[in-house]
Amino acid sequence: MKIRFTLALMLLVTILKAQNPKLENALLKNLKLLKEAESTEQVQAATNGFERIAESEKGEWLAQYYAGYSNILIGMRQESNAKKDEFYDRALGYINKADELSAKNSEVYVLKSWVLGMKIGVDPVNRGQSLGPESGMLISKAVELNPENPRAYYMRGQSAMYTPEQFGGGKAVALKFLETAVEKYKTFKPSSPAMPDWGEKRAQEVLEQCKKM
Amino acid sequence: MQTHSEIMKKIVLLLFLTASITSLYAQVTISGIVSDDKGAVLPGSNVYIKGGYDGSTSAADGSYTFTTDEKGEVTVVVSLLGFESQEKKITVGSEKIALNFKLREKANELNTVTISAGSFEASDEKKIVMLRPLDIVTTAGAAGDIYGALQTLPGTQQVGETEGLFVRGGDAREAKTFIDGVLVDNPYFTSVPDVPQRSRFSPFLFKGTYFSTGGYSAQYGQAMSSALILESQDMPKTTTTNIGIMSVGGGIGHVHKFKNSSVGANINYFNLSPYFALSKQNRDWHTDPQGGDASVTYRQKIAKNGLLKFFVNTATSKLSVDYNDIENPEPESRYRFSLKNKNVFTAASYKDIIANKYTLQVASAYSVNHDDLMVDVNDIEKNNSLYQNRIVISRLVKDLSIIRVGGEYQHAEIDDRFTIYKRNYLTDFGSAFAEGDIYITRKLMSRAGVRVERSGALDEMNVAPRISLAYKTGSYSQFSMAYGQFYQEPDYHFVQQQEGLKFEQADHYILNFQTVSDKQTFRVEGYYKIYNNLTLTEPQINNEGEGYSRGIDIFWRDKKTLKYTDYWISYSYLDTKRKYLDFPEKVTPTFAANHTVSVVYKRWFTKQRLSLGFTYAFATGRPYNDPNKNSFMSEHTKSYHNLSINSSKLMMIGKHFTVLVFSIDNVLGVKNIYTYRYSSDGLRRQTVGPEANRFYFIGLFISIGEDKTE
Repeated sequence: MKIRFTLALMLLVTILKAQNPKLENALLKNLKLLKEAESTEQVQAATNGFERIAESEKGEWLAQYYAGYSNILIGMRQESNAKKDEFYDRALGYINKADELSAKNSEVYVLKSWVLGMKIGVDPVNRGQSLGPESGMLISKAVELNPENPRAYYMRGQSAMYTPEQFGGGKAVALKFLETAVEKYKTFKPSSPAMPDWGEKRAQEVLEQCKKM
Repeated sequence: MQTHSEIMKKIVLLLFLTASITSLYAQVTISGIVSDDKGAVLPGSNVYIKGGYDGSTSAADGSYTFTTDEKGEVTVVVSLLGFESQEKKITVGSEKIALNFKLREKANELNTVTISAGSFEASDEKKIVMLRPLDIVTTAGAAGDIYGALQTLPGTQQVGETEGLFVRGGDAREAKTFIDGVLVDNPYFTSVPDVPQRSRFSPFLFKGTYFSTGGYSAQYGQAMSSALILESQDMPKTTTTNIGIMSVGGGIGHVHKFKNSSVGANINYFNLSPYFALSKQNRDWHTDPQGGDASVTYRQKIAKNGLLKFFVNTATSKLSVDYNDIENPEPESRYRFSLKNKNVFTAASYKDIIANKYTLQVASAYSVNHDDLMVDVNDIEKNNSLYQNRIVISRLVKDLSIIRVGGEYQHAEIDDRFTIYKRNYLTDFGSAFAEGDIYITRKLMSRAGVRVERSGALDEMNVAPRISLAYKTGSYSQFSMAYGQFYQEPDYHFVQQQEGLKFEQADHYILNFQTVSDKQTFRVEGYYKIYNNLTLTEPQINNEGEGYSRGIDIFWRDKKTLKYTDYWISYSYLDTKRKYLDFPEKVTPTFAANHTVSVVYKRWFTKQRLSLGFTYAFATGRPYNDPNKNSFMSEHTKSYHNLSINSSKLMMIGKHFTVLVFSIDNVLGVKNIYTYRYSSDGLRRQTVGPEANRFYFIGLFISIGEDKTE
């Protein structure tokens, strides 16, 4: 009884937190900016917006989450490996904060696995062995924690695409995950408008790419 | 009409009112320009009011503008990746505010100088270093041994007849190994005549390797030539199990990660019998080398920044080998050398940040080594133990400068027994040091320190100053120089026999230029070393020995020119002479070659997940003494050549990452001669060369993670 009450209270708190309208509006406004952004400068402006929210809302995992997410996007647009790494490290800082604020969150694990994958890409020879297992473990856990999360399958599939067959990757494995991802995207509804809802279009593109492999 | 004008009036009034109300509650615009300290504009900066969402991003011309509803005193923050954030307090009234910022670049490896004279560093954490820990493991000819890999760096000698680092004209005793600050008494397996021994510690235990060929920090002492500073791994990232199956043995290890701690255990066994049965050896083994070790590691995070590390390793090994007895004129006369060894090394260390200002590092270690030897008919026993404590407190001063103070205490005991003759040796050793890394500007820094040591066995104290200076000449290049005094106790055999001995001593002068980017490294270093008070054994044990070393070390590494290829070339020129031990005059010692070259090459085939590599080592002949010649140490061996190759392939066995490693040492089968040994009457001589002309190694390493990959 007591446990059930605590659970209900926790749920209520979570809902109330998610309903902080000022935060939600600000996140939605920035998500729109990010969606419309074309140039690196525009992505940077949206990223800065997320960072402002994250700095002001230090107790909100979602604010930290988006600051991390947008820093990955901007890191991917960098030319030099050193710059990429700086942005990924900055992203990782926010993602770790999100992880602290919201433990065992499938969405946060997806993001962390992704950024570690990007960091491996900067220096595969030296980082593959140390970061590879951690990234793999995180994405497996992301699927486990929420089997309905399409992003977990999408990232799982994308990483399988770049992993040779003999290492548990390859086209067949990638296809399976990407198809599941596209399927799950169709039914996925974020619990509130500002909750993570990215990747559907890109997952379809990656699936098409994978089919042509 | 009247109505009309009245309406107009009302409208005007309303407009006026609205305007005044708006001005009363109006949003205030804050704008300005963000630039760096040299005036170049900085686009992309995030300018905002602390604690709120209001803010903006600076445009291509560095200008920003935003409005805020906030009133009164607020803090405006500017942040930009790679720059130090800045805050300014302003009062927001009703007026527009103009606010410019000049940001300072964060100190990084491109704009800030670091000490480089005499040092080679391998680290995963720093962005730009000369070596990565993985480079050590994948170097051909090194056989996964840290010391083997270090021998491909300039300043070291290719000495094959015994283990140890011979650095810049110094002998192996002058190079010491430290793990997390504590001295490792027996870093190698116990010495066997003419058979070099491997390191006791796997390179995978360490996250950082810092190899100094001279002029090193006041934090370390009792090494006249070189310090190898190893930093053990922190908390592991995942739970894993590792299995190794090798042509010379096998091992299994498991490390379990908990939320704030980790526990690991390792067991290894080696036995060269199967290998020796297949591959002919130059030596006559009676008991093939065999043994095992077990270790436990423990890591515990304490509070926010504290980390406790504990490591214990216990090992046992045995071997016996028959040698030709050179002293016996009877041909084919032999004697047997048998060794049984037990070794325990235990270290605990703790690191924390205290009062947000001080970094505290304490370490404690205890090691004990037991050798049971039988040489011909003589029964020999040697026990040595070392207990030590160490503390270092450091403090960051003004962003970059660091002050360190610390001290250490060691208590060593050695018990020797030669047949019925017993000897006992006890010493207490203490030291204190203070050192500062002082940044005058980001481009110019100095490390100045002093080390005070006291040896109980010698009943003597020394004061050793050390100073280095480094100046950055470009993003990747810098000059540095170092001077230092280094003391060392004479070998305990001599201290035991002769009272009144003093510390042996060396002065180092080093001049270095290097340019290091993440793809290419060039480094040239010149040095001059003066040795004083070296131990002489003739006519009786005294401290009258002396010597010098001078030379040039060149290092070039390139990962850029050839795709998927990494290669490095080391060249060392060494001119050294010394009078020590039983030398009648100042000569070049047996362990010093004038010219040494190493070429290390590694190539990755990403599709095949395969790496191929080779190491070629060359050294000009080394001196040896032929007692039949008139002058001492006048002869030279022929030059040394060794080409080693290695290959590793990444595979999956089931769901587990597996690496298959294959290597051949001395592929060409060159019959190298390390030195010649003469009987005391000079009538007979022995050639000292490698154990086998070629050495083959094959190993399979399986890593089992907790990843539930389908």
